Amino acid sequence: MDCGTTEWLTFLFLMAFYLSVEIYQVLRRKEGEIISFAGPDIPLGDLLGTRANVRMKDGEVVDAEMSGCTLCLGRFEVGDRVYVCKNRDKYVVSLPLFMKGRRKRSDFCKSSCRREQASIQGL
Amino acid sequence: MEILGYITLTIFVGAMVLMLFRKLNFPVQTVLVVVSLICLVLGAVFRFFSEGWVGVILLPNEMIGGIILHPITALLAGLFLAGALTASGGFDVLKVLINKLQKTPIGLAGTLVILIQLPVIASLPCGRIIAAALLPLLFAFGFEGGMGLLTRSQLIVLIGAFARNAFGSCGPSPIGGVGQIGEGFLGAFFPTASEGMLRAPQAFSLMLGTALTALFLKLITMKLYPEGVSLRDLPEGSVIEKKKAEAKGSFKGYLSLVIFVAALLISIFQPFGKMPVQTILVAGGILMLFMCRVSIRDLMSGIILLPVTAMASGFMAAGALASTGGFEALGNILKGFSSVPFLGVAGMLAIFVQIQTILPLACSRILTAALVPVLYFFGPAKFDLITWPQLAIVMAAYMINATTSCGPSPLGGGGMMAEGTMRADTGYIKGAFTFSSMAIMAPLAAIYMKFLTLSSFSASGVQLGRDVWLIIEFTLVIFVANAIIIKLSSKVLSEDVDKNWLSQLPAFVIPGAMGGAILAFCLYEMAFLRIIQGAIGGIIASLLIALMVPKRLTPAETGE
Repeated sequence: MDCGTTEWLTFLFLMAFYLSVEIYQVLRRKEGEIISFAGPDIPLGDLLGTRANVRMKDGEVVDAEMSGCTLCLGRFEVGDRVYVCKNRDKYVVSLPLFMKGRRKRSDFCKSSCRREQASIQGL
Repeated sequence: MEILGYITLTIFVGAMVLMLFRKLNFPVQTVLVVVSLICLVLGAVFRFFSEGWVGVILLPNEMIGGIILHPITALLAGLFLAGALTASGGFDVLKVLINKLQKTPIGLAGTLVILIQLPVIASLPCGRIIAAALLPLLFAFGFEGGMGLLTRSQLIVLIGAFARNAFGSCGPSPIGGVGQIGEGFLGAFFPTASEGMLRAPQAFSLMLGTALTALFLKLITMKLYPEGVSLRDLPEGSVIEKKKAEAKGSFKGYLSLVIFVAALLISIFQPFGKMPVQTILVAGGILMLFMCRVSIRDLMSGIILLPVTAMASGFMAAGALASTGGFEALGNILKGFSSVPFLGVAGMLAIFVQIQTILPLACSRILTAALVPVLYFFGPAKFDLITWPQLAIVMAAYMINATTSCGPSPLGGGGMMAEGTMRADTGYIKGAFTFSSMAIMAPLAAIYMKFLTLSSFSASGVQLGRDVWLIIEFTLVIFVANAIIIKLSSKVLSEDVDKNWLSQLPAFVIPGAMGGAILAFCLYEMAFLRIIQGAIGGIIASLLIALMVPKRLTPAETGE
């Protein structure tokens, strides 16, 4: 098998992989609304990843993980509609290529600052 | 058609600025896809009237031609491998190994240094993968995590420096790193550029920049924002029962880690002959899936593909700009800057190199994919402002600055570049991250490329020993000078917020001038006027960067 054929086969595999992951996540995702963030209790932990409490359409509230990339690229705030995918033992917030517009209910930084203040006052 | 280029460029830049100031409240990649489509439609209209239907039909081809497949497929392959490693428990094994390191002669201090530099060592295509995986371990070092080995301030420094290294490690990654975009363009002149020409300069500068970030966080950030980060320290007089970190690794985890390291080494050193990097990584990932019995569901639901769509959307925007003349318009504008007497080409390049730190988007790949072609046009391919070796030097400095720009982006969590409304964590690290990127990483990458990489890659014989000493000397000067500036600045800080914010401006401007001058030296050696111009460009760039550091992280109290 020459190098050119190997490259093409690899390319096709990767395209198939990418499409199947996107399709899998689209088919399995459920829509919900962020009601609060519950980031890791370490300083600057939100930079690396955070957790969001998401109220699903059926009323269930789940604790979903959100990577730093998702949080940043999606610019999520409390009140935003998001999609979550269920992993084996956890929920993960996903960010599809196209998203509907979101209602902004509150200033995220104010929420984040309130969380920080409450945490300091709780000492 | 020239005017079309300016129109599409305005649309692109306008969209970026509107996003930064939260007037466009959509995900970054969505905005870029829409901007690309708008540019395409505008281009079609213009072309219909100037060239007829033939011009319109060719337009989509030209736009798609801007999408470079190699970095995208390398990134996909790297994410596939990393996803398999995550799903098979490979990172749990990494935690076990790190814990065991503490008991070796290097002790806790040596272990923490390795931990902080682990993202650049691991060379994953997206540093946040390893950052998220090791977050519980970082947590464990503090009082709340149970091990109680580090105080609050030590934990802040650890996590901040670790995040710095993680967010920049995607640049030098040999498996889908951002630097591969630049290597592709440099391959037009340097035949072996794709073998990792930009890797070493980025990795070298990132490792040293990480150290300076730690210093900045310790001496300046904590004084600027004393209550900016909440973490309890061990209450005075308390005694905690120190728990050992409960990291356990399974056989599957060890196996997957071995496969990962083997795939990485084979793709870098190619011991079995020339093979596409993507094929090696895919083979490694498939091997992991079968031998470690990874569930496809776990792989698919947890995998991060955001960097791929981010890069693809950046390339789309680049293709749209290229096909409608937007790049030529940008190149003309920047060429115009270079004709300003006190700036020149050196000063303009000193500003351009810092552009992604001045205007940080959420994912560095996006703007890198869109702007690297402009940098390429500065070289002999179009405007002929710089030679090929000079282009390589500027590319190295640009690339590390770009890849380290995503951390302090104000877009994280919907922040705004204004006092008091920036997302707390992002605002806390903004000063440290932007300083290290501007003052250390960009100039060091340029130095390394000039005195070492170009020696290795060019055919002419250069005195390697002399060049290595030059690198060591420059590195010491840059590092020591910046460390002194940080130390002096920390002594000036007080409780006056406004005074502190003003005090830090010289701390940015002086290293900015130095960085610009060093870049100019790397390009033009002892041409004094060019060095002055580079310094002026560095001052302008550093002022723009410094003005964005937030004064405070919480909104100012109002009398209610």
